[in-house]
Amino acid sequence: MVTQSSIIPLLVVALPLLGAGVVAYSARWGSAVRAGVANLLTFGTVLLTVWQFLLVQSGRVLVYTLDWYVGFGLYWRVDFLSAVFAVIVALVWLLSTLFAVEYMAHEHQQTRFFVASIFTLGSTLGVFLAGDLLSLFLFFELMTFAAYLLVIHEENADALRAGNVYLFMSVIGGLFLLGSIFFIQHTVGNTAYAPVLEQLVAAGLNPWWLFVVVLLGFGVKAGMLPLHIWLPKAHPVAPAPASALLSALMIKTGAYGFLRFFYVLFTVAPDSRLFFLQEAFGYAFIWIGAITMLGGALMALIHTPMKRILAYSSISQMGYILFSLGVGVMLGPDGAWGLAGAWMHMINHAFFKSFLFLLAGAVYLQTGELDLTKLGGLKRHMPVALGFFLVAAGGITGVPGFNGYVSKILIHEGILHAFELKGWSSLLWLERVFVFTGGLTAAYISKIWIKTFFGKPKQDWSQVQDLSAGQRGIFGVYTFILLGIGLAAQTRVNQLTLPALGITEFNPLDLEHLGQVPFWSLHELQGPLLSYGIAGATLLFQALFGRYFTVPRWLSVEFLVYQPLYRGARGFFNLLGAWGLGIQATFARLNTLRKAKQKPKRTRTWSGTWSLANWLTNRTNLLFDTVVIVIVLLAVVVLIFVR
Amino acid sequence: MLPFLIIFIPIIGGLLTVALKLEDRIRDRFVLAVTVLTEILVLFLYTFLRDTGVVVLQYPKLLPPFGISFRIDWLSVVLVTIASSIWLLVTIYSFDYIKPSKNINRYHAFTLITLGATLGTLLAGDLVTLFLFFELMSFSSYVLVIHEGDPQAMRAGFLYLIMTIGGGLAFLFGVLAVYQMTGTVAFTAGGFLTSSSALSLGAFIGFLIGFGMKAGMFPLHVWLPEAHPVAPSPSSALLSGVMLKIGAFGLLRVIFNVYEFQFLKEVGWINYLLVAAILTILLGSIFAIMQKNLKRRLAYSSVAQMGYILLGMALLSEQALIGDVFHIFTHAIMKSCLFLVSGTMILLTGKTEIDDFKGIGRRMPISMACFTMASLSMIGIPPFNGFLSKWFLGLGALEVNQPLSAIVLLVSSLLNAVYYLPIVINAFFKQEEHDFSQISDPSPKMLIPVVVLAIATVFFDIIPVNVLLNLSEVTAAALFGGGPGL
Repeated sequence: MVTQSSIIPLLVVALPLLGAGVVAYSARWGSAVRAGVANLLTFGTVLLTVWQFLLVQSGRVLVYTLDWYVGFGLYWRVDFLSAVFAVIVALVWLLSTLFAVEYMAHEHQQTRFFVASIFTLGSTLGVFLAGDLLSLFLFFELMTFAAYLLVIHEENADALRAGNVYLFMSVIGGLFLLGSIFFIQHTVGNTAYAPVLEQLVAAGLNPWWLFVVVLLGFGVKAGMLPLHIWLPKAHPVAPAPASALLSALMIKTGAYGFLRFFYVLFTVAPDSRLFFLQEAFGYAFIWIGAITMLGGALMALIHTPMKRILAYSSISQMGYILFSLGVGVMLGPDGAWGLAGAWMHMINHAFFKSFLFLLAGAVYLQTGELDLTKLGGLKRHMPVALGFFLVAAGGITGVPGFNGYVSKILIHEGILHAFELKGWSSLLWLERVFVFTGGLTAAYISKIWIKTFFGKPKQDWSQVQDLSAGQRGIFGVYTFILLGIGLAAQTRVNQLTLPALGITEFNPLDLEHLGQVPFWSLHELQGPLLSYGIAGATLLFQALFGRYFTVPRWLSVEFLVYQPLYRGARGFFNLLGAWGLGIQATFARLNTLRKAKQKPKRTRTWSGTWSLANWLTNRTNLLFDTVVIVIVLLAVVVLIFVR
Repeated sequence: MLPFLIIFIPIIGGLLTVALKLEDRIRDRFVLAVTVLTEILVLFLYTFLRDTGVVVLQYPKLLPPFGISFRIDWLSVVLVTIASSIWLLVTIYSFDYIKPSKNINRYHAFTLITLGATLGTLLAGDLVTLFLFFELMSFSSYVLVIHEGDPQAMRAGFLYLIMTIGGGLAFLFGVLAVYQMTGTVAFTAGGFLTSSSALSLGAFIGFLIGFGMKAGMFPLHVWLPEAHPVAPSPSSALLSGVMLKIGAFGLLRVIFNVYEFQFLKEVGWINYLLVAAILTILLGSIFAIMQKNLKRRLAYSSVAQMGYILLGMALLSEQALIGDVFHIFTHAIMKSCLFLVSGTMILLTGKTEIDDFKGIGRRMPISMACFTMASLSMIGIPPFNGFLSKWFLGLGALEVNQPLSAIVLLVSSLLNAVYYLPIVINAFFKQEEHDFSQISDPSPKMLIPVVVLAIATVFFDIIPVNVLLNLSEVTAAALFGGGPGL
């Protein structure tokens, strides 16, 4: 591996970041120019990332440093992992921006949308290309705030509420991440991607706390249960091209962060006495992943707005990724399968999920409707859309020949491999959860296309037209990619996954096996069949008995955890406020009583009537502060003396 | 001579402003000229400092028995620069802002006098000189607080006055005690007081009360949220942006140049400040969240941010001190930006509550964009300045094994987000409730200072040669008894 200083990573990030300004400026020449500039910039970014990928593929690691960036410097480091994902980010962004030109034509604030979108592209690329945690954090926060503009694009009450949940959860996540960065910087002296766990533990830090902090830091972005609640709110309210980007790419930054943390920063040698920690972290991840995938899939099954189903589906798919990441982390050097599955699924999910969201957008553009209970019978009006939908569905449900199949096989083999090595029966149960979730996935996806395209039309669709030529082109590219990965499964694994495994040491035997996965064996081909079997049973069950099973509101995490927390905080502040008001009312009352007894005096302006009650009435805030001060001081005194 | 010029040119200029009763336009130019001249002279201090190192100028004949003395070292020069620069920008802003009100001559005169007194405080070479200018600053800024003259302003001003006098007396007690114990009051590099007697402790607490009052330290912050909303916005910007820092500056002098900081650490007195700082950060933010009035919220935010600065010096680690000095810069920049924008909003709409400003961002996009940048910097989002100070403060806290302080910083960032982001979201994305159709971005005189300040919030985090950070590093090193100039 040759390390080479190169300015390309900087350009990849800077072109869209600075380009956002150009887009804003170009808006004065009309929407066509603006759209052209936006697409040209994105296309330029694609070219740069591809160039970068080609350089990296020839065995180089590109680094770039802006060490004058105050105090600590900004670092770029592009290894294979970063380079591949940069290409994917840029490519999906291009497709979605092309789609947005048509989709956004009737929306308000289009300039803001395109500017925010291009800016988010730059910062998302920055996250993937960053060379140390601090640079990553910088781009991570930029991305959070830029994407906020995409989330609240509609500016209605729903969007603003979703935006608030998104923003504050992201800020909290960011602070947790910053906390972990503080500790790493303090202990190690830098935040580069290198194993630090032993040093941190030697410095007396509790590794479990660190684990939780990192989990909370990236978990919010990754849509991990139970930190996912912003996702099904924020992704559906954004315009479809933005939802596609949020769901397909932005949440990957969370998974990417976990990948860097748990495959590089928090790794230890297998003979180290701390290896048990890595094992435990991995095992915890598998459980988190399993809960996330199952929870997401169940939620997707019971909802009817199409984009919300897709958002929950994203959570579920992130569950797959975390699940497989966990397998790899747990097994340490034997975890090649786990990482390969997670990595491949990150790539595949980026494509098929953005594909699905854009298709939802295309349907919405024609019908103005996204609720499955109000759609139906579109197959005669939009047959081409149906065709593309089936392709995307094939991707996400893992039909052989489509891309999802590849990663699902890898994940499945990974967990079985883990069971073989460890022999824990819980792993076998987790494998069953995985298979069952695959079935649920097939169920909710089938529900979408069946309820949209088949059945009786619930409205008059006579105005509905099929996909435009531009959309067909975009979806054609997607189809090409999905099939291109799915049909040449082994080749793609060799090209995209095996070099990516170089970020840490793996058992060469596993790598060899990964080079010859039996994708087309009868045994593996049974998986998708089983999925669809479960799906059929689920849908049948839901159709027959679904009405008897309404999921109660109190069962959601939001209701159980977040709303009490939020209400508690609100209540706390309200209580404080009411307290202040009560004091004010009391003194006002005293004052009127007092005034009723005496004749009103002429008041001097500079101090008002000089009485304590009057003085305090006018200073509720002051009084309130004073009361708090007294209480806090008393508390401090008590604390000192109790010791 | 230079310190004398720097201090007395604005003071005399201020007196002349009242005395000459110039025509409005000429007066504005005169005021501007005086402020610019002061700024230029302040910049000369750098060459002075670079050529001759730390300079202590003594004038024992003036005001015996203590005499007057000035001390030009990195700390004072750095703070003088930030004070006079902010003052210049705010003065440019204030010409148009103050036009509709009465007593314009008085306003400008006292702004100039306060400038002179503030610079005097910063350049003071001993505690007595510091005390003199400190009191002058407090009294002349009283006139700025009560500028509007309505009963509310008078009441707030009265509170400000009482508390300032109280604080001043506590400070004076400290000065006398120090003189009693050591026979000297001049600032010395590395400090000169290591007595752990009760008198010494009393003096330290006197300083804490006196300067803490000015800095808005928690139990003594109550004047601050009363005074800010009633003062004219440029004055609020100066109060919050510059004058609060005088309290922090005084404490820095006391900790590093009067007491020996190692001694303070050993006897544990510094922990009083540490506890007060943490309480200031948390409670300031919590109070801020509860406020509905825009300027009051900003005022409480100042309390919280001053808590950062107090925390930075209470930690007694060099890295934290870098963050501390940098945060003095940063907070001066961003808070004056916030107050100026809120002044524009209040002036143009006549509203004061945060909920009244829904949708105003569409009408005055440039101003509100500046407000947004300053808010993000407050929260500490990279690549804004606020992040950098938080970074150094946090690392400094870990360096001296105070992870709790680092966590407080993070929690406080969240609280900052809770009270700043809704203002921005309200302004940009909510539907208008009041008719703002007549409102647009203000005149260039009121816009340019705001834009300059907003750019500064991001500029000093991304430029190749970060002057402010370098200055902070030099200052911190100097206070810790190393580095150039000492």
